[in-house]
Amino acid sequence: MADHLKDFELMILLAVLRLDEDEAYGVPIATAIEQTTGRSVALASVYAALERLEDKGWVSSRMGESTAQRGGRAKRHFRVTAKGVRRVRQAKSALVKMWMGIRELQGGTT
Amino acid sequence: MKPTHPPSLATKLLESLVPQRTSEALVGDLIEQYEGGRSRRWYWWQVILALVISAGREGRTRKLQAVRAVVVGYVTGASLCYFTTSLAGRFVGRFVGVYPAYYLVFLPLSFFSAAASGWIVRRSHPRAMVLIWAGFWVVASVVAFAVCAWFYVFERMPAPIMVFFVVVDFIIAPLGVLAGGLWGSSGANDAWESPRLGAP
Repeated sequence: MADHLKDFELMILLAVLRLDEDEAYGVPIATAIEQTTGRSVALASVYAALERLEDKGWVSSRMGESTAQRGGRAKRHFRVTAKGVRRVRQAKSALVKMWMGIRELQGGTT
Repeated sequence: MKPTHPPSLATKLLESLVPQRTSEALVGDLIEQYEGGRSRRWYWWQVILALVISAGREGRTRKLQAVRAVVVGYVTGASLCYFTTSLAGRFVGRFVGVYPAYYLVFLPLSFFSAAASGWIVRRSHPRAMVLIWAGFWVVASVVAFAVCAWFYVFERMPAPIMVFFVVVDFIIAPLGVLAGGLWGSSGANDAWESPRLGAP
């Protein structure tokens, strides 16, 4: 399915949306997911997911300046496109609809 | 105490074997994290994961090219190895006997034949290097197992010669493919494959 959105991809889209455009590159995106989920994330898997999302037109990227701190390598900055924002809204709407009316999930924290 | 610079071999592998579209930013991120206190073991683990993920992605998105790369790599490597060792074995065999000659020439020639196939595949399939290495290793392992089983059952070949085959197919040839791929990647630029990052 061309517009299928996996959990990990949804998390990445949300992480990119949370970050300012200058800060939305590999390390902060991975850190945001690690802090939220409490599990370690491979940087390569973040890039693989971002490239899938870019191929679908849900994120775009641009290369930044290269810096000495990064061994002369440039950062690749990402941002969520309008199409990507629409897809996140659809996913949220679907999840909320599925959530509603389930007694076991109402109240409590577990 | 941790060395100041991240492992250069790991960086070189990543930059040579993963498409430039991904590798530049990823290497920068890894260096940034390493400078921030991550260990060398973490760095190597991230590089290994990147190679595995890249190979998986190549296999899924470019199935035909991936199969072609494995076939081209195996056929060129095996053909070169067969012809060069046959010729050299006959030539050197005049002086030291046929079997010792094979031992003398087989190891370096199989390495260089595999390196040549790695170089050819790297140049003709810029995005399939990790996959060709893994594919080559799997195909070579299956063939080595079949050849060894055949010789053991039907030819009663001595164990040392079988060990020799296994060393060549499992270690020497894959290392040759990797070395040839790294050699082929120097000066090769796959930026032409990248989307126009940052273009309006």
